[in-house]
Amino acid sequence: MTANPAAIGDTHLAVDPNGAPTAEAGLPAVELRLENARAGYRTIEVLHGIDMAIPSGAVTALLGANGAGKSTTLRTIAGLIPLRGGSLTWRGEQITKMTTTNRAKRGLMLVPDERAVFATLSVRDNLQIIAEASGHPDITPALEAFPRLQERLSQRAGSMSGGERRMLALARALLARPSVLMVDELSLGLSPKVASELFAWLGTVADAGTTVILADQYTEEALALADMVYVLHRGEITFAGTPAELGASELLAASAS
Amino acid sequence: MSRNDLSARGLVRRYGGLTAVEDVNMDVPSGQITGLIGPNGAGKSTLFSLLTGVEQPDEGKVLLGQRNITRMSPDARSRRGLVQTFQVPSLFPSLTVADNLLVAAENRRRDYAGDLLGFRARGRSGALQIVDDVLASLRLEDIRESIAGTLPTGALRLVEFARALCARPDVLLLDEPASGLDAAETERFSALVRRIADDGVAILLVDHDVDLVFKVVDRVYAMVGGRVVAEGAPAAVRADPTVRSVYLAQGPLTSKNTGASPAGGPSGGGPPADSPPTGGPPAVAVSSGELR
Amino acid sequence: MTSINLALTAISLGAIAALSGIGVLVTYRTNGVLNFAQGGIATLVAYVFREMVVEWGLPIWLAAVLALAVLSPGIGLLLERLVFRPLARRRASAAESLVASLGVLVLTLGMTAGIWGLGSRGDAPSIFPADTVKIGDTRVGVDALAELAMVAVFCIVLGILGAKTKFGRQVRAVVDDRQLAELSGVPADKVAAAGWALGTTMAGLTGILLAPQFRLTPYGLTLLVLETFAVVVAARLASLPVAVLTALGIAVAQSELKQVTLDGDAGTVLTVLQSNLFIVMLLVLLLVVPRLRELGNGDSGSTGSFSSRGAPPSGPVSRDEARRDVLGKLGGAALLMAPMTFAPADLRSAFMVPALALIFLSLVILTGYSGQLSLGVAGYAGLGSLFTLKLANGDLFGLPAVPGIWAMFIGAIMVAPIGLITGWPAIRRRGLVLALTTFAVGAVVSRFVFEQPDFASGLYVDPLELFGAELGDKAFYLFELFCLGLGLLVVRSLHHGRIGRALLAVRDHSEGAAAVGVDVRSLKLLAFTISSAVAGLGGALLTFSASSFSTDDFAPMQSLLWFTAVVVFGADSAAGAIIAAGFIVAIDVLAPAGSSILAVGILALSLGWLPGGLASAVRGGIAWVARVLADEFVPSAHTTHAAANRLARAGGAVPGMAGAAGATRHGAAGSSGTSGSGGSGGGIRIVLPAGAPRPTPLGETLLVAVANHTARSGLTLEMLPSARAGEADSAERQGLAGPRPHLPGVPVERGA
Ligand SMILES: Nc1ncnc2c1ncn2[C@@H]1O[C@H](COP(=O)(O)OP(=O)(O)OP(=O)(O)O)[C@@H](O)[C@H]1O
Ligand SMILES: [Mg+2]
Repeated sequence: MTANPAAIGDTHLAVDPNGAPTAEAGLPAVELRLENARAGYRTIEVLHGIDMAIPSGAVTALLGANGAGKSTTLRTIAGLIPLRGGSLTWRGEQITKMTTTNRAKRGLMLVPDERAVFATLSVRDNLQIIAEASGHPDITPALEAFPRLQERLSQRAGSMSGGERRMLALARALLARPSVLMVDELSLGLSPKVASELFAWLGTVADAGTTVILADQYTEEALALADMVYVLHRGEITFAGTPAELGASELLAASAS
Repeated sequence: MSRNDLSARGLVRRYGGLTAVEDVNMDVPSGQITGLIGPNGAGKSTLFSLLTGVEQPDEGKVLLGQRNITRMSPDARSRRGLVQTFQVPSLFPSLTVADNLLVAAENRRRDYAGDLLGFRARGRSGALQIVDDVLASLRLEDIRESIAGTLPTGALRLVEFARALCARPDVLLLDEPASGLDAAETERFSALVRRIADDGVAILLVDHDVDLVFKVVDRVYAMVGGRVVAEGAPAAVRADPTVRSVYLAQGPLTSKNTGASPAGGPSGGGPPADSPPTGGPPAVAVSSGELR
Repeated sequence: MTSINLALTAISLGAIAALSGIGVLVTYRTNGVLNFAQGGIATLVAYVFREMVVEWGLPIWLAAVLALAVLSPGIGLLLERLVFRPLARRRASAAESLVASLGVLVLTLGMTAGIWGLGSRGDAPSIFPADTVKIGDTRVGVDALAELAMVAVFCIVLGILGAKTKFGRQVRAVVDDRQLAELSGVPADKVAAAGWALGTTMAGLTGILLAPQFRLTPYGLTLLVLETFAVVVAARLASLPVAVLTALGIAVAQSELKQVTLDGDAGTVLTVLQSNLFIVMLLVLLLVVPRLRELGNGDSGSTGSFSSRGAPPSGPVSRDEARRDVLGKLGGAALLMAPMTFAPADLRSAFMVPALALIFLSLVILTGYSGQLSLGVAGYAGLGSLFTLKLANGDLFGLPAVPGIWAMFIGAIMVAPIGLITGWPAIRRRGLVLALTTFAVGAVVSRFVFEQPDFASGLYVDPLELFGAELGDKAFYLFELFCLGLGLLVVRSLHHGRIGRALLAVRDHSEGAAAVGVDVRSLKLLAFTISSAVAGLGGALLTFSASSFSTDDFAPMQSLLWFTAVVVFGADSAAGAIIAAGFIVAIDVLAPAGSSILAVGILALSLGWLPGGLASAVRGGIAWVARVLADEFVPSAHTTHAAANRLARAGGAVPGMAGAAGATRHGAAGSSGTSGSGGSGGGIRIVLPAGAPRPTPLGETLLVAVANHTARSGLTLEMLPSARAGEADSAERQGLAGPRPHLPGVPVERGA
């Protein structure tokens, strides 16, 4: 970790040099900013120029129907998909062209919705790799959080059940001590109990100063947690604001349920 | 016992030291939707694999009607009407949606030699008819000619489901069919499953969307650690203390459909249970209900 | 000599096999590529090393340092950067990487042969002194002992490196899933490059150590390394110690075998076995070792994107398409007929084209349509040829001589059961294991049948006769085309209709196919059987067009080359197979011998940039041009939509506070700077009917976009009935229509 190990538990004071707060008063500073971002796959453009300002140390929910472009947005921020237009800034630095690895080192962490664990590696190696990359090679925090993993340390990750793989993916995210934690479909394949515990946990993570971005179908939980909401529809942002404002409009009904 | 009932008797499957499925008895009667719930790693998908023949049980047997099908290969089971969908969508990515369905619709007989020598035509229009009907009933006509590999998740799940229907199942096994679907899609999906069961198909449904499961099923099995710990009517199982404490979030239930709120009460087993539940900053109002 | 002494001498061979095996294993575990090029790289480095010492007169230590510390890792870095990184970036299947490695093999062989010629050299220097040490009664070379020591050291060091260190873990992570590794902050490119450098250095070392033990020829060393795959298979692609023990074991067994002599047929078999134990063990091990620990997520068997075309349309096709199809076929047929007008010598060169095309078609059936890798096609082709000749010569199982033409068809059909039997292992195997199994079958057939004088000598090729008349050159060529036509018919019946779809389903997702009732076993066997018969026919034609049976035509290396060619030209394209045949023959006629190999190798290396092979690139190119043209004339709905949306925002319409009913908004068409769309039109007014429901912001932007689009398409928009708008809205909400709607006239992209 070169740039800023804003670990869980630290409170960070970095302020966006542009100093531009979001439109909503009372929200923390913005360090991650997407401007007029366009991205897609091959010949298909999925994001048609979106603007997002992600408040730091808070939970931002990214809502929208299937195919709206939520995953693409997260993958773009993580650097898996190049921007075709527009820009991405993180703590005042242009990172539009930065590699995925370097973004990860800057603390931008994505838990993708599929293929989120190394299937041929053991559970232990899966954890160890990310722990080492983050500079804190101790994996016990993850094992304390997910006792199931403790029992399975030498199981091949690929042979675990769908939900267990998901837990492993999140345990890895925990060890990465990211500054920005992006979770695509947190609840995918998780039992209701584990899912709701994880939502609660994400809240504590954000309280401890980590910026959390959440794309999820479980609109209610995501909204309950969110400080800021973006609604995506077919690659465009159709709403940006606090959950309260969203409630006032019909938009939720129109595009999410 | 009807010809189409699927039942499991004393099924056991071990992986090394771990017993993923332990002495499971289960009945999936025709015309009914049977639910299967359980925490992550309870052995639901493994049980599925045993029922469909993807894996072989170490002990026990699988019966379709009166017939013991324990050693039958998955494709033979499928031709006898036992059809499954997978937890991870498994479409044929390079084929169009229509072709995906057509493969299912036209493979209840083998007779490849006959086809090769040109004695076919028979039954083909029938298969196309089935595909069209299923596409229509799922409202998928719009993507009929889309290449399956390019579809978004929600559509993938529905197409996989449609493909299973095209195989004209007597027993339909659905592994997390609604995960990744948005609320509207889930809604449509549950209505559809009900209709199919009403046509006399036996359905086994695994999903973590408890509202979907409890709303749509006639009978539920709850598995924990490879064993069936509770079975019966949805309401009874939902009220079962074990199920509540290991599987359901305690307190009001969470889901994507209702306005009920998660309680986030501490409980062992999950991530930092000792840390206090967060408040998202100021409590916010949501159109459909109050939180916290 | 006592057998103990023999065993000691065998250790030298064993140590070399072990080193080579370690090299292959290390490459596989560090790069996820079962590197068929290992032998090619070893050969190249060995030649350069020899050149430096013998020709340039460098001291051995300096040459060794240059070869092992500069050249070998350099090759690895280059390969990673230029060939395998692009493949990894687009998550190519292990099968594609395998083809790329075949490309590297072919290219390194071509380079070596091109620079140093095919002749053998016996003066390769050794880096160890030529001393011997006395152990018991035997003198053992220092080199053998040193090699043994090296094997032990590598085993321990690499074992620790792989299992215990951070670097080892990172390497495994990168091989497993490069993207996820990057997401985890692992510098994947650097790690992969280091892994490659390590792998090729091992290959170079193998070459330098092996060269002095044998005479240095481009092919010899390569084959030797390929044979040591047995060691790797025994190790289940994972365990270094098992690899080493197997290598030593086979080497000792081989030398012990040399003690035994038998008479008669058994004796013949034994003699062959004595020098081919490694390749036989490869086959045996592949059949008995239950499961290899393949890397990747288990889909390494899917031929994935190098054959990704879907089924031919199941519904009626438009007349335009049908016409284009017919025209294309006529054009192709005309091209194939063209050699009829050639001078006799050129016509004879063209004989090879239909024959090769048939062999390639057999690969299209197997690999392109049913997704099974086969690296043993030369074996089937050779058997077809052999059966045909023996039948025609009246030499087969005491059967009477059969006229050439019928012998050809009967011979081809006789290959089918062999295809069926050898296809048996394919039922449960796929990906690398299947590739290796078929390779071993081809190699064993080559060694035990084609290279045996008992079977393959004294064969003569009589000109073909039809109805008592001898076929002239032109008639023979026509006959070949007839056979090709037959092959195409078979391909067609396998690709169209129910079987075609079922095969593609098996190729795409075999569990999914089984789940809906497709009999995966039977279909795989069917593909294997038919494909081997087609290959047999092609092989027979090949022999007749060359007028002689040559073992080299059906050597194991040919299988690799042919497979590579088919994949490069599009594994799922029958036309690609024919073009590939034409290409290879043309280059071999026009350019120095061996150029076609080089050309195919170079094309294979570009697979990283050409997913789907040349055929697919051409298809893609055409689709692209069509799309660009269409975009020129039809404005993209998205650019306008985006523009509308931006304008809506710029205009201060805060989302969430939808405009009131009857709101008038000036359309976005006037907004400049929107790329891609044509010139700007006038403003657009949308007036909603009074009393219409208030649109959501979504609905509103949609209205603007629709209005915009229709305006540009030259239509006039009187009024948008709100019901319609609502409908469009809800259709969008389903999220089912794919990521973007397709405008009329814009080609729908096929393929993932
Ligand atoms: N091949 C295997 N080797 C070892 N353990 C396995 C294997 N397959 C499954 N398991 C284990 O068996 C248990 C049951 O897995 P299964 O996939 O059936 O769970 P599940 O109930 O479907 O869970 P989920 O809801 O998370 O999908 C898990 O703990 C899993 O780790
Ligand atoms: Mg499961």
